[in-house]
Amino acid sequence: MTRLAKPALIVFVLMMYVLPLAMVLYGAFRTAAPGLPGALTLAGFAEAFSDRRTYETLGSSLWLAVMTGIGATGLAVVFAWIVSRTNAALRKVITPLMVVVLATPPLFFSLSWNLLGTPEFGLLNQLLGSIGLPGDLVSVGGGWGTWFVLSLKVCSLGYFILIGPFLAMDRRLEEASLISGASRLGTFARINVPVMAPAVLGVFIINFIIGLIAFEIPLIVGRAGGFEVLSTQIYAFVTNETPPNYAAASALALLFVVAVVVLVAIKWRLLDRRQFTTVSGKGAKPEPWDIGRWTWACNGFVAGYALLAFVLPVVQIVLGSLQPLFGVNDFSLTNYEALFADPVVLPALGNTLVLALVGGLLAVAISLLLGVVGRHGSIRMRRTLELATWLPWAAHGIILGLGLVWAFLTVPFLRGLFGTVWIVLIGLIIASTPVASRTVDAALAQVGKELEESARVSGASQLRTSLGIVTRLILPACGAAWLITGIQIAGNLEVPILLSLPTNETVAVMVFQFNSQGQTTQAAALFCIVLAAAAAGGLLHLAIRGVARSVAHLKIGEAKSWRLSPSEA
Amino acid sequence: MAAVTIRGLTKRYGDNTVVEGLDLDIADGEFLTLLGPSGCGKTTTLRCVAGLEKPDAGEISIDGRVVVSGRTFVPPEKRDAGMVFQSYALWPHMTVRSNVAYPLKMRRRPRAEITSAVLEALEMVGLDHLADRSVGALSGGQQQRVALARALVARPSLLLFDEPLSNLDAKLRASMRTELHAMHERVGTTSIYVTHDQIEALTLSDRIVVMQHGAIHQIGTPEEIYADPVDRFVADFVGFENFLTGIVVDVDTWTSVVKVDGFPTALLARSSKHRTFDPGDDVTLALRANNVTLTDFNAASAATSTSAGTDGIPATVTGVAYLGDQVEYQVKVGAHTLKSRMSSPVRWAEGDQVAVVLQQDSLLVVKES
Repeated sequence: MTRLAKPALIVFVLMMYVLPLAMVLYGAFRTAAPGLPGALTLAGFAEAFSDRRTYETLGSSLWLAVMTGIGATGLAVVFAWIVSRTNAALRKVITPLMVVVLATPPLFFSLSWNLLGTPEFGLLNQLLGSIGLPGDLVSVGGGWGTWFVLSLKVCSLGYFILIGPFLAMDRRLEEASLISGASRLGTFARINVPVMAPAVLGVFIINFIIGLIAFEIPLIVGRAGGFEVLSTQIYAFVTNETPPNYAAASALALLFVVAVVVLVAIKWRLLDRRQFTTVSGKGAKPEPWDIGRWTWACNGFVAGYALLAFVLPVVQIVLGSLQPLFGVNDFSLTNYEALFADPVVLPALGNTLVLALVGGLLAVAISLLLGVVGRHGSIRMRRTLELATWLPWAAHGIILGLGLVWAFLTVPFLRGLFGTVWIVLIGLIIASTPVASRTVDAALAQVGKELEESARVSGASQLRTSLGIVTRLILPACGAAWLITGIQIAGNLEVPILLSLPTNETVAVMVFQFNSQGQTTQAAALFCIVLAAAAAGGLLHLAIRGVARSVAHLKIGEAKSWRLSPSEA
Repeated sequence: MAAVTIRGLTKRYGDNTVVEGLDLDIADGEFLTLLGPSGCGKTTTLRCVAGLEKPDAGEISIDGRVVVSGRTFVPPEKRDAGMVFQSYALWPHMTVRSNVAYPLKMRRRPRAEITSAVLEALEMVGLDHLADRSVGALSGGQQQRVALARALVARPSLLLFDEPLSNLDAKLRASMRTELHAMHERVGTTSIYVTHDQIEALTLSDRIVVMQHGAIHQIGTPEEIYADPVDRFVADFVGFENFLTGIVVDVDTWTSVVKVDGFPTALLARSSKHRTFDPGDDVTLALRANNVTLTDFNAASAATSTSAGTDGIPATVTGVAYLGDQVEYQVKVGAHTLKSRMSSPVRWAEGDQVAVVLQQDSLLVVKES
């Protein structure tokens, strides 16, 4: 890399990922709205922290964070354990199911569970009602509903963090303990738990943070039952007050940022150095325990989860999209017809598609660039890049949106972009970089250093090696990362809700608006279109991979026959 | 082909100095082995020559061209080397043929030349019939041959081997050793070979460099290293199992007489040609286990002395291990424990009284390291 490229990259990363958060800090001390002249003051803090409601919502946020930490981590541990350690038949569906749940935006879960849990009319209550139970048995509004839906969704992330260590844990470690005279339970308590504790604790902290900063699910599910958390409070400061109270919103947001940064730091300090699980014996192979009659319990648990996290929500949102009014079982395509007749819907769909494709591609490209540079840079450089791209995750969606509003209205040469689709695109790229870069990094880690070194010694330059060997090898993973990032972008409500204008609205914002105006079935129909597009993207991805694989196969086969024929002749 | 010169090579990772002030000259066409336990800095030295690590200090030149010195750093792709890695490092997305063709493509050779050179290299390693296989479909030994073909194909001026045989099983390792040796005889490229296996080092090398803690202990031909290690570390590494400490009582050009506590008479030992000793020096004597012979106690005491008082030292057997064609005994002489290896069958048991005979000329005075 030339001497200019490295500083340029660092400046880019700072602009992209650190500036918006710095602007939240700045905004918290301003008297006026972004872009207007004003002085620095503590009024925002005074306002935000003198309000009694702030402490109530802070309490709610903490409650949700702890509960999500417990609920989602518990689910993730159970699923990782079932996959790695049992012979339950349904363990094979867990990973595909988790991929779907992880890739599906939280907006989907909030919409469909909002419908599912509606007293009398929701699918769940109708089903329960049909077997003679009261029709308002299930109600998901409020704190518990928020916790329930959030845990269903969020456990998928923890699952993917835990499954590696669980699978890598050498069965010999357990066997050595059993032979030393410990019981199964004793082995679990003395060997499995301590060995897995760092990974599980890490997942708990991540889930805690997610519970703290979650926005869409509390906004749609929780608020319906009068449950406010900090993120919805920030949103309220900006949208419900005239003029929007940016200072108070920023002051609250700052509280978040500090909390999250502290938690991430704790996680790094405490846990990331103690990776027991990577030390595995030779030929570590996950061998399932024959759990006998407990198999049915595991299968039942998996089936129950699949029903609640995937089957019922999809059925509900599709059924809902076909109803003229929610709960009226008179199915037709009226909603879709109305949507396509609406002059703003088609442009929004197109707009979202472009954002998802371009934003996803750019996020993956940036992740790839940072990953490859980080691979060769010093440890300090790698840490800096990693920390910078994790920041937007720490300051999720709504805070990021707030930071971008400040950044784009305050920094002179960025002001021209405000109100254009570019600011939405940049916001979405920043917000989706953590997801993209985790996927790309995981793939990069699979490419052994010696594969690169052998290319270098063979005479290939650094650039050529990075493109021709490393990037080429992880291309399939980059495709998957693009797809997942694109879906995240299409379903992201947090960023465009503050940044987009009616002229460049995304589908997610439109869905939210339909939903909050009571047109829940139209919202469902619109989201069904997004889901269909995402599913089509997924199928396309699988098809391309399949074709690429068989072409590679053909090529080798052809070459082989070409080689064989002359020698046979 | 090229001579390699290394001067003052130093490499640190944080506070940990892996190689310190290493000087080494490798002649044109020579096969040189860096031998040592893991962590001795041998791989780091090799990687510095390859350009995969930047040394903190020192200078390396290949064929008279300085590749590392101060601010000069020639990247690996410009050093005209070929390298065989421990993990083979074959690119999984390419066929055997494309893997081997890669170095030629990078050197922008014409197509026809690439085709014929690849085939020639694959023939040399006996894999021309597998040219269009995917590398994943090969066995470990075959993969290592492909890696070798790839290293050779561009006829680089320098070949580097980083423990290339350590991932193979014992039988395959032996046959690959023979093949590597034959290959070097044939192409004659200057080669640097890193290993922790003394057999590989002894059979393959023109010269061996024994390293520990980032520094060189001894440089010499396989015969010199095997028969005449300079210090206890090298002796231990090339299979000397018995070490006795004593005081020199008399010296002449080739031999020293050393008094060892607990032995009835002083021992006559060959002096290492690397060092002279004076009477009164504390020294270490090294002795291979198969040069320690046991006889029955009574027979020994009756026997007449043949070599300056090293016969018939009374001892007690403290351990017996049956090794198949050989038997390994542990015997106690005074406070010293000696290991002896003799051909089967087992003749003594634990607790037996025996007499120890140290074979003439087998004791070697080495430096304590």
